[in-house]
Amino acid sequence: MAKYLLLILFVSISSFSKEAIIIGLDADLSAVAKGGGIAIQRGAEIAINEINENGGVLGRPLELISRDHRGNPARGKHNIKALAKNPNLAAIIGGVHTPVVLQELELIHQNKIPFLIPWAAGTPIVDNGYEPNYVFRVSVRDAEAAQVLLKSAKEAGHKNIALLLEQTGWGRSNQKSMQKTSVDLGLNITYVGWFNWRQHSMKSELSRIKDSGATAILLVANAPEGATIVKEVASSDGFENMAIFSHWGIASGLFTDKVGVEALQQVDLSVLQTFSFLSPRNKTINDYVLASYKRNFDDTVTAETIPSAVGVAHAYDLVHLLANSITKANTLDKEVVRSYLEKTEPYSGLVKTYSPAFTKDKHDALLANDYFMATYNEQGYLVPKLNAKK
Amino acid sequence: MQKNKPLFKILIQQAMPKVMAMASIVSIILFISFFLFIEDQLNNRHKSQLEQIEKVAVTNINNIASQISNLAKNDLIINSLIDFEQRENYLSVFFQSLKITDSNEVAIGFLNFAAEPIVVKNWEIFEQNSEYFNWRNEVFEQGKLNVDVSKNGVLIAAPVMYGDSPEGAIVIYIKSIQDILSFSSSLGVQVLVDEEYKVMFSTHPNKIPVGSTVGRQMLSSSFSVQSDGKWWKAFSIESLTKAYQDVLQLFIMVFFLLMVVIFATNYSARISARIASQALKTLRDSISDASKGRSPINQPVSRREPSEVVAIKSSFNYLLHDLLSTSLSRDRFESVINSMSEPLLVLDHKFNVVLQNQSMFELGLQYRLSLPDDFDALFPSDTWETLLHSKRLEIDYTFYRSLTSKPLILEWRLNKYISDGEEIGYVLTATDLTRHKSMAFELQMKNKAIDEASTAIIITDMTKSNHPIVYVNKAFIDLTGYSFKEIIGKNCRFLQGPKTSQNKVALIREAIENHATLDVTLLNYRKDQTIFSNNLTLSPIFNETNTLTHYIGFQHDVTEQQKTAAYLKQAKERAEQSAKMKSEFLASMSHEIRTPMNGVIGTISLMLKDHLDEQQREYALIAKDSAESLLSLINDILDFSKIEAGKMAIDNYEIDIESLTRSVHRSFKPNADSKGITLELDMTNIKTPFLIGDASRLRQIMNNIIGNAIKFTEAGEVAIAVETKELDNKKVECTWHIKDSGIGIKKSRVNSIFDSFTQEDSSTTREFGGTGLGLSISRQLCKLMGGDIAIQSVQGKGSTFSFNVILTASNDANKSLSDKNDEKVTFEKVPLKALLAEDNMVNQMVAKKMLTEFGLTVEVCANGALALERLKSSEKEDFDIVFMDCHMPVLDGYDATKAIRNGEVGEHFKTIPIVAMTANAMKGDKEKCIEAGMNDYTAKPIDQKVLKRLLSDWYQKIKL
Repeated sequence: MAKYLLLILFVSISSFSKEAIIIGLDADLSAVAKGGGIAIQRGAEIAINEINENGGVLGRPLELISRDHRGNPARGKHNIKALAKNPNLAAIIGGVHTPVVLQELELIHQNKIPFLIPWAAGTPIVDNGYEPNYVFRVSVRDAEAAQVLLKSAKEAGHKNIALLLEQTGWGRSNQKSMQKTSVDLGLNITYVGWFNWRQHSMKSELSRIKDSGATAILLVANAPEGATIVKEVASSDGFENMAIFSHWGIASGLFTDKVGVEALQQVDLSVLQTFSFLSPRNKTINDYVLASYKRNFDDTVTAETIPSAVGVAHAYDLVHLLANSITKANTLDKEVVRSYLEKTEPYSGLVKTYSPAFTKDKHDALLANDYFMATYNEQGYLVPKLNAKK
Repeated sequence: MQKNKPLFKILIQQAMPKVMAMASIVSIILFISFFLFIEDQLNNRHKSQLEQIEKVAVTNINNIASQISNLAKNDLIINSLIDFEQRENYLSVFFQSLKITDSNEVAIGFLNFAAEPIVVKNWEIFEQNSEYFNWRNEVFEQGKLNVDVSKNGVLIAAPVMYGDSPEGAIVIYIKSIQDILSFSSSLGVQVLVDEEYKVMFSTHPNKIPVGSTVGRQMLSSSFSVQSDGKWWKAFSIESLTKAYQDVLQLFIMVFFLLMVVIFATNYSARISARIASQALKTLRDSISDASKGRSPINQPVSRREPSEVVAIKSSFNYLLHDLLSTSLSRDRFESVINSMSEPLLVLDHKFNVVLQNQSMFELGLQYRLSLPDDFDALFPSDTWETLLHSKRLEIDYTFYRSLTSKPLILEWRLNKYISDGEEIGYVLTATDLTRHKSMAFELQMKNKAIDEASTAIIITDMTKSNHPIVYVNKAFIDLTGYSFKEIIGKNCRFLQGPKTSQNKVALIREAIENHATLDVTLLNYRKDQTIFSNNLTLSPIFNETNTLTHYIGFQHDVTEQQKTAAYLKQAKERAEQSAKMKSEFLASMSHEIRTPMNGVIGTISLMLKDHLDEQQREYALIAKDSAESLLSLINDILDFSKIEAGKMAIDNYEIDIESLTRSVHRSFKPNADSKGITLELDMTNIKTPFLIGDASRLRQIMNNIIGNAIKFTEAGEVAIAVETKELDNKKVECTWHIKDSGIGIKKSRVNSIFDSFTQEDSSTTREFGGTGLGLSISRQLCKLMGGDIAIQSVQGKGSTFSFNVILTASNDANKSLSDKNDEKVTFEKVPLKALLAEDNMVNQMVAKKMLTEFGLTVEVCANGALALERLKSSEKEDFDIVFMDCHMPVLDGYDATKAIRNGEVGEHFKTIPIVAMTANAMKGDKEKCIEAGMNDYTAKPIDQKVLKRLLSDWYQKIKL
């Protein structure tokens, strides 16, 4: 008995004296989408703390190193280069912005780093043409999002719809999938409008949309531009019956603050979501993560008010999936870890029960069935839209 | 004999210099004013030219800068930072077609956050020169537009802002400002230069090429105007000859004019000279004829003779006649009146001068008088009327300011001027009174000053036999009470009286005999026979022949002054006395209170060792506790007094703060246990346990703060945590944190609980007791050790007291360890023979009992004298050691010790160990004992542990 105790003592001492396993985070932590970036960071930290409290991975603690790319792809690439130099790096978690992630794929595959995507939804992020593919995503996939968005529009009785997209890789990826899906669903796309980042007004695009005869706008935007558009829809004449079905990019920043609760109530706006603490899939984990969030970051939040909840949830599940794969692989060799990520076992996570999350051919853990539409309540918080939920 | 010059030459000589001078002055004035005018014009023209160029340059640069900033704010540009895939399509086309200026030597680039190019055009031009520009910090860190103009070119960089952060930049570089600025100028050459005067832009590059240096030499050898711009200095330069062309032309014209004037003057002088000399020649001839023949001068010889010459001839004839008759008597009269020193003036009724003497003539000359025009100046206002009436009048011209503003007073006398019985005018004579009046006034002023002076002044006449007083001022009358009449003419001896020091009177007499000055203070009498202390200064006065004529004396009443000095001296002595008394009181207080306390505590301790029943033991324990509390209270007050008096000293010796803290913890453990409180101790953060400091003072602070924590905590825990932090110079900061879950302290009271005699609430005193001195003392002690106490407290939840001190790291850690082990050495009995000198019965009993318990044989004497007697009659073997109270009647401990050391009780006891036992616990007492010849010292009440250690030390020394 004493021998075993000694052994346990020895193991536990030696385990934490080893160097930590590094998980890199490359996201916008200070600019327009910092809400999403910080949510991802917190979700990852909650999971890392939980894992470290239970003895770490391969007897070594996990540690998160965060780098800020401010939404700038050039900075993102710079960050990936810096993180890749760390010999203890196991994987990198990406941020909100699809354009940034897309620019980083080349470096990721050059350095063979498992790249975990908790937010950016661009289809080409996963369908990137690299073999082997190092990208694993627990988030929305644009191609799938198009289906959900268009279906909700159709269910709400819209026949003529317009697309309003940001002039980036993410916008273009959505244009393709939406146009393809609209044909399948028999919907008529009357107009495709584009806008630039930091564009100050989209009024001309909006009036063209209205003139085209569309009754609903399918919006692909991040928070700052999304806020500009929603405010302009709320304040312009003739848009009273215009419904907006938004991709979820607008939920990444301080969208509510920018639009204002009153303007939000004037617009028929639904937002694509994958997760809400209000509708737990696994009550135990749901409560644990919420409690841990309150304890570590902000004890005033509730299941309703926790900001950018999807970021927290996706990052939390991704870290656990990674930890399981490393344990299985029993090595930090990134190629081996990557292969074990493709062989994950069914796992009951915070977002859902993955059965399994990834396979060799499926690097997207969440698909159309996992998405639902949410809407802003009177206090300006996102709540699941009951009739849209499957 | 010198030959006279002809009239022509005289005319030329007289007229030519004046005409020439006037012509030259006019020319010069004309020339200078024209020059100034031209220069002003030139300046203005060049200035406006420069202004225009600078304006164009700044406008051009600003235009480009605003184009660049607009471009940087364009959302397409911002978006392209993100849109990697497609930006190639539009950016390169856009930038290739972008034309900001007409020049080809322009580089333009769109750079990312690390200043790496995204899209560039002609970029190699910039890269060759990029080292000269420092723009990144301003653009990428501060997000500001950067515009830089130098000889290396023009650089404009604007940040591309994404949200609030600069994530890229648009940079334009123009090789030379010449490329964006075209300006043709007909007025000289205009250049823009950098701070090294290197040309950045030139309106005529063929004259001053770009890149050349505009030197001091170039500027001084040509006409130039300078102006300073934001990025450059601008010069407008024109050659001197060209600039001053007009002036040169004028100069030639003026020179020509001057020549004409000279010629004209010369010519007209010749003509007038010829005419005049002909006329004069004829006149001379006729006068010469007349004088030869003594006949009148010929009347006009011809009609051409000028009328002036004819008139001269007739006047000459009259003159010739009168001259001979009057010249004699006039000479005599003039010499008489000219000898008068007073001015004399004879006027007719129209105030024309009929006659004046030399003195009056000089007066007229001095004040530029010309009568009758200046008659009003000589007799201003109605003075003439007054003079006519009174015949005699003083006129003070300072008052009228008609003649001069300087002091001038004349006394005029007026007589009638009568000729042939008829009054035809006035005879006036004047006397100058100016000097006389001014001296009189000065004297009057000084007299007044002396009369009014606050110092008493007295003057005696030394030429007369009894040295009578000739003058006293008002202050003297006030000081002595005598009147003028009573004083003048007397000798000043009347001020002296019976109390006046004869020595000082002799001093005065001696000084007078030696004609010396003297300063002396002596007692004098007033008229009412009251005495005053008189500070007298005597000073002799000599006349021109150096004979002593007077003595002048200055007197001050210094009675009050002397009284004040005496009073101050007394007051100082009293204050010193009082301070001494206070310190003695403190010492005696210490002694007087500790002595009975020693008795009480000692007696009860002894009693507790006896067989007592339960009830008695309980009473005795309560009595002992109370007495110990009282003693600690007294110690607090004494400590406080010491701190107040600045007498608190901190010892420095090796200590081990771990074992020190552990021992304090151990001592409080039972107390905490009995209250049901957990007493935690965390010493994991002690990195440097062995230090140099004052363990007893640290223990005192810990006792106070931990004691308080336990006292004010009803349930829960008190946690002690200690940490050390190494500072520079081997200094170590030790911090103790004492955290309790007690009643806490109100926020508003946190600061005031350190005040003396203060507790958190006056109700606290009722509930928990205590003086409120402890924290105040603890804080003072911390401060003495370079630290302080800090409190964090929430009322009702508990407090954390943190105190820190700065100690020195010990060099010898092992020594501290061994010292610590020493304490644990078990005590063995010490079979010594002791003599105890102690007057107080109770203390005798207690000390004897304690010493006996440690194995000593003790004999007691009631004072120092008895102890000396006892020793004198003893052999060396009878006593091994002496315990000596310091304060005893008949002979105290100090003197007794001195006697023993002097061998008064025999050689064999000269070196016997003497240990002082005294209630004098003030600092310095120990030194006093050692000085008296004692070997060791223990304070009363006697601490058993201290005594134990002391005895085992001495036992070892004696037995060895």
